[in-house]
Amino acid sequence: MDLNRKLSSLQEISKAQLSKILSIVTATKYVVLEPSIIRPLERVCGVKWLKSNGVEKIFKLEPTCPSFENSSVFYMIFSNLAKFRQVVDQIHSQISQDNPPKNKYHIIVVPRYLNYFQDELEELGLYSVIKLHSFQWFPLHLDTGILSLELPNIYKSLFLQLDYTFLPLLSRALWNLFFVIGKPRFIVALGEYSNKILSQVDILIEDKGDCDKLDSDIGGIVLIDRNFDYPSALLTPGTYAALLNEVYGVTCGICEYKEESVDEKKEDRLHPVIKKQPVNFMLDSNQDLVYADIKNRYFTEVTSVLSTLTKQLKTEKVQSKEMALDEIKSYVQNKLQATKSRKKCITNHLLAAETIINVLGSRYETQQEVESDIIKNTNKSTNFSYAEEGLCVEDDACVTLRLFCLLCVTQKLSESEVKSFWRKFVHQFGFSCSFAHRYLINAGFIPEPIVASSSLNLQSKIRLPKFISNEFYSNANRFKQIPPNPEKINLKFPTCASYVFGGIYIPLITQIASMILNATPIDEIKSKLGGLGLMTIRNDMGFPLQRRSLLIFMVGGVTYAEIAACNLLETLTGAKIVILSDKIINGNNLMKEILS
Amino acid sequence: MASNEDFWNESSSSKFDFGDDEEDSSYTQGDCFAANVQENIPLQIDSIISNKCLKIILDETDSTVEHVVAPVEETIRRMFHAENFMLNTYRSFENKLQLLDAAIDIGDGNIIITVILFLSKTLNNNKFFTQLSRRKVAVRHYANYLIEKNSLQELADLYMATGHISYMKDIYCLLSKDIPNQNVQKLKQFNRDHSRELHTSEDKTEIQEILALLDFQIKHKLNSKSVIEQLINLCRSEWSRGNGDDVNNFKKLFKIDDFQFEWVEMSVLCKMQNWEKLIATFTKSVWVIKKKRALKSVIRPELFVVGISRHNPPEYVTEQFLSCISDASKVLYLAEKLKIHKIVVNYHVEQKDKTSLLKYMERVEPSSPAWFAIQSSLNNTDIKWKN
Repeated sequence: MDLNRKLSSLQEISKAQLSKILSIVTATKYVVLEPSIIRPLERVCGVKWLKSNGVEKIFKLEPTCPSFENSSVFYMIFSNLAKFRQVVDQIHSQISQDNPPKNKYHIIVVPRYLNYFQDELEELGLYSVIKLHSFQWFPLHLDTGILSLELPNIYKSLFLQLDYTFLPLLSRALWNLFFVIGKPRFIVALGEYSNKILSQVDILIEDKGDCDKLDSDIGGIVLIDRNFDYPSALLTPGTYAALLNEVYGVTCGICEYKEESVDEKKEDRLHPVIKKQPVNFMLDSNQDLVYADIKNRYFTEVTSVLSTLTKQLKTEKVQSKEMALDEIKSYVQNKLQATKSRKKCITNHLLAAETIINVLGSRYETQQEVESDIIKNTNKSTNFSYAEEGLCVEDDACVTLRLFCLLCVTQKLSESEVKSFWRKFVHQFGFSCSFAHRYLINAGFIPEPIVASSSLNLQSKIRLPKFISNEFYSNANRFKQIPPNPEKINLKFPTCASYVFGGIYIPLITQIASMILNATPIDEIKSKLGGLGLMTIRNDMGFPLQRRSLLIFMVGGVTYAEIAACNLLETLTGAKIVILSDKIINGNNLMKEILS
Repeated sequence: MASNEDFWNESSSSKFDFGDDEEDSSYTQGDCFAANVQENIPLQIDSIISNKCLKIILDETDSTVEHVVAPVEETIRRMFHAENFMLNTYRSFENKLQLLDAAIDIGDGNIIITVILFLSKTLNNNKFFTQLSRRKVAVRHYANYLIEKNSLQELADLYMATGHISYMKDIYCLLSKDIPNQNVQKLKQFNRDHSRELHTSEDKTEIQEILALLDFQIKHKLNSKSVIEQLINLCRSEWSRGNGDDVNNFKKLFKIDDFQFEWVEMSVLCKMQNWEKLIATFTKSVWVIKKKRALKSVIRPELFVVGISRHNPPEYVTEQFLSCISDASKVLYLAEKLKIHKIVVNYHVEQKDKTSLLKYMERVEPSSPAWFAIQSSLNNTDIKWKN
């Protein structure tokens, strides 16, 4: 059975799970959805399916509550205490304390409710009035070979708050997936969280059951923590899909931007805000053939491809004017619809490409130069000055912080440089960003400040940033991630995965996948990977891979650039690589979480 | 009275009987107690109560008994699988610590918090915080939970009691995130209470600056998100009125970086289209060369030109600042990019480069002043073209 078809059908299982929860109430029900859950839910089951499962009306969660009459209500929210309290307050205001209704109010928490949610209900005397349900959908197959859980806040929770709350849901997702595709015989786990997830999967298999398939659809799996390769998320990408995500932001595989009404405050800003063209399309290679062609192309090629396609459309139009009657009839019956949708696709992509050029174009060249210098480990002081100047010149917190983080991971900044930058950053963007300093320390970008005077506190140890022991450049050289001659990399017909970053850097997961698919001796793999950090390799006679397919699970978010690099590797090796993550991110997403 | 040292160890030895003394003493006759001696010897226990009833009473005795509890590992697994569990059977200190360590080991934040909350309710503060402080993971999870619940006072207690003094500044940041004016008092109070704990000078400075900005805004009834934004607003309001003292005072107050300050100056002047003041503020005459002016700023000339070009200044302004750049190739590059034709044309004429000039002519709009300038240069017979 084709793996892609299987992955596209995963949602049938999610629907079965959701159906089981909804069938607790047999009468008609209403559903109230938190706004940010609507998009992923659309891809899980859709409105029609909900309605065919006894849901009469669907509302959006708003401050004012609609009247529910006698129907049962299912609220659906992400697992967040503030949201939970909002819903509980809303319910509380509707019921009478003396005679509260039973089995009327339900809250479905995605992916799971926490024990202290129940404590909250207990304190309010609502423990038996409101029922809680956990619902974790299967990974969404957003596009060929891309599986995403589309769950928010995982990076923030794991890497910034250093909190384990979401680890079990990641392990549960993987365990669930193994039921469908089978558990592979070759498993690699890199990083603290990947290893914990693996041990939790073991517990789930031991206590709850294992897949009954004898053979797995995939040859091996690599679990890796996001913090093993920050540059892949922080460098400016060059492929079309990645740039769409950079400029517009893509959620759940959908790129949408509505024209905003002129905001006076924005007009007043010193740094002019560049207008973006409104777009709305799905990043789906199966439905949008134009996208399938250009998604992984380097951006400079995309514009020429789009103009060729536009010319083709024009010639078609001219030709159609000269058609005979029966030719026109056949055209309208067979080709017109396809042409219309192609035209719509091309228009969308042209608008998007135009916006990308407008938004990024002005600083793209200099930015590329600086990033190239950083990866080559040259011109450190110029690079740092560029970052500091960028605070005023770009006036964009995410963009400047991103470059700062890239410098911290690669060329390393001295304590005084960090202090100087941070002070200016906080002046520029407000003291409300101050807390981000803690997140930067937790993520390992900057070291914990050293205690100046000896205090009574004997427990404050100097915490070295994780990367001092894992030197970026020595690792990158070990995995051959930095091509010696970036200018010689062919961006038009790429043969080297570094094209995704303009030739300067190959994502780590691509190199690891390459090692495994090319049957590098296992001892060599072990010694190389061991130098990166905490590593587990389980080889149950699964290496060399029996099936030329690999699942890569990136814990903390994966970028379109990394996906494109792996797609190229697929083409070069004839293997299949499926990428699974909690979310598709770009560098700005990470920065936003740090600044939140 | 007994000469035998083992007297008390042998229960078969003679019962100690109050009556024994009575025989030796002189209180035998006429004593009111004498008559009752016989009656005070207690009766045998089985003559006053049946064995069955004695058993009922004995069974009632209440001593703490070590309850048999489910193994810690099993309870943690049940919690992991969201099955029913009971934590309150774990009453011994040892068990509680085992629970906490097992929770951390399995790596489930939900379980860790549940166990921590159980411990906080069943241990006194001292013991609770001591044990937490030995487990960094536990402190982190509890801190995250308290932040989620917005219980900042408890968070402060946690940090103080577990020796995470350097984290106190974080609470300050959290407090200052959402500031309606009333909370300023809270911030000030916090600062007074805990200023000793802020042990890096940067932390102290930052907090003082936060307070200074808030005070400033309250005093002048202003509202902006950051120091720089406040500066921008000040510049606008001050310069439209003419003076600029407040601006300079503000700069001194926060020790604003020169680059940031001058960038704001430049941008605000451009936005206000006050080109004269822009030129006056940022250029100075070079004393040797008569007409040449140099850029008076910490900002690099190329960057300065890029900055002003965003605000579409009149050509003479851009030309003025372009001439401050010393590197001719950079000047050319920027002039071409910004379409300052005069400078490009002059450059090629000076270089006597006819080919480049002709090439550039293609990019110029026909019949524009620049186009005519190129034409006249090309037709100028005085110029000896190199190519």
